[in-house]
Amino acid sequence: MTDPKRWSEDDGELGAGELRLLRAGLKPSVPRGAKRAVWVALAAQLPSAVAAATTIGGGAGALTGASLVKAASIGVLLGATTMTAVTVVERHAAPSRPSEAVKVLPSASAAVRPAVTTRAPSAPVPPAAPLAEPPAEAPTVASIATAGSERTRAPAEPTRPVSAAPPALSVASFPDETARSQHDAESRKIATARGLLRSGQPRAALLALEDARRDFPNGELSQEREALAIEALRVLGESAEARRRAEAFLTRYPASPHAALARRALETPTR
Amino acid sequence: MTFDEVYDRHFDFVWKSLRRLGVPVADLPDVTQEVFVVVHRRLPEFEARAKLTTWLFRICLHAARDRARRAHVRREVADGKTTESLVAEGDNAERLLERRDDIALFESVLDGMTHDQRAVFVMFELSEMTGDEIASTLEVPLATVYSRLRLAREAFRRGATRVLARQGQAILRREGAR
Repeated sequence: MTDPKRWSEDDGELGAGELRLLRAGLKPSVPRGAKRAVWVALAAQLPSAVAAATTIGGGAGALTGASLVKAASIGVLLGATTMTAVTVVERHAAPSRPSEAVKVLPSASAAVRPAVTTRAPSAPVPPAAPLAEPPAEAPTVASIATAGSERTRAPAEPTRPVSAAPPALSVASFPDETARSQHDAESRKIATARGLLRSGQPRAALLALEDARRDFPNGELSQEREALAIEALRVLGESAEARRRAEAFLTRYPASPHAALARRALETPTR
Repeated sequence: MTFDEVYDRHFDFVWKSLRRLGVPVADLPDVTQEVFVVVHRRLPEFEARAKLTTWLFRICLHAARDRARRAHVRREVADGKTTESLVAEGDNAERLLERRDDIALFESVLDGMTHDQRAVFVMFELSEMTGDEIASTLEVPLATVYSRLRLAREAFRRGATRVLARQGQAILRREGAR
C-alpha cells in the first residue's frame, strides 16, 4: 500500500476555498514568549524534584514519589480527570539564587498537574532557584512564529538513542541575573495564583494576582496574570468585571495565546 | 538527548500539534507543559525504535484527549457552553466568519471530525507523517489509517463547504447592512 498524495502537494484536488483553509491550518504560529513561559512554568513546577536531586545526588530516578505527589494533586495526564485540590505551599521557598544551575530529576510518579509551584513541604534541602532558562531562547521562538509550514520530521536525531540516564535537567544561568530573579519571583506568584484558582479558591487567586500586579505591573507574565484574573472573575460569577478586564485584555494583547479565553468571557452574559 | 534539547528542538512541534489536535489556544500553555512533564518523566524509557517526533505526538494525543475530557467535565459542571466549535455555535460563528479568520475556520472544520479522524488528518496532511508512522503512533493497522484518512477528508470537505458558504453569507449580510 502506498500513501495517497497529500492535499497540500496535490494541485487540483481541493477547491480554492478549501485549499485556503488548509493552508491556514498548516501554519499555526507559536506566540512569541510562549516557549520561555512554559519553560518557566515547568521549572516552577518541579522544584521539589530539584531539591530531591540535590539531596539524592542525582541518582537514577530516585525521586521518592512523596514530595512531588504530595505537594501537587495528581492530574493524571494519561487517563484520569482529576485536577483539583492543589495546595500551594510556596511561602517558605528561599529567595532564589539566580546563578544556581537547576537540576531536575524525572518524577517517578504519575504525571503531575502543572501550573502549580510544587514546593514539597517535606523537602529537606533549601530549594535551588526554581527558574531555569529555556535552552536556546527567543530567536527560535520568534523565527518559528513567523515561519510558514512546519516540517515535523526530525531527520537528525530520531535514530540516535536517547541517553539511558535519567534526564537530569541542567540549565544555564540567565545572562541578566536581576531580570532572572525578577522573572523568577513573578513566575512564582503567578504559579501560586494559578494553583489557588485550580484548587477552587478564586478569591484567594485574585488576591495573589493583585499582589503580582502590584509588584510587577509590567512583568513578563502580565498576560498570564490578566488571563487568570479573568478566569477567576468568571468563576466567581463577577461577569461584568470579567468582561471589562477581557475587553481591556483583547485591546492590549489581541494575538495573545489567552485571547480565546478573554473572548469567552465576553460571551458570558452579564448577571 | 537530554530533556532540554528535546524541549528546545521540539517545543514548537508539541505546541502546534496540540493546537491542531483541538486544544484551545487558552489552554495551550498548560497542556504543553503537561506534555513536557511526561516527556521529562519518560524520556529514559524512550527507545530509539520510534522517531522522537512520533513518540512526542503520541504524548500530545493523550494530552489533547485528556484535556477534552476535562473540558467536558467542566462544561457539565458549569452547564455553560465553552466550545468554540463554529459548527455548533451561532453567535461565535458569526464573529469568526466576519473576522475572516481562516485559521479559526479551519479549526472549526477539524472540530467536526471524530478524535480519531482528526488525529490521522493532522498527522498526515499537516504534520506530513507517513502512513506507516501514523500506524505506529496510533498502534493500528495501516489500512485503518487509510480508512480514517478517507473519512477525515470527506469530513473536511463537508465542513469546509459549509463554513465557506456561511462565511460568504456573513460577508454579504454585513455589506448589505452598511
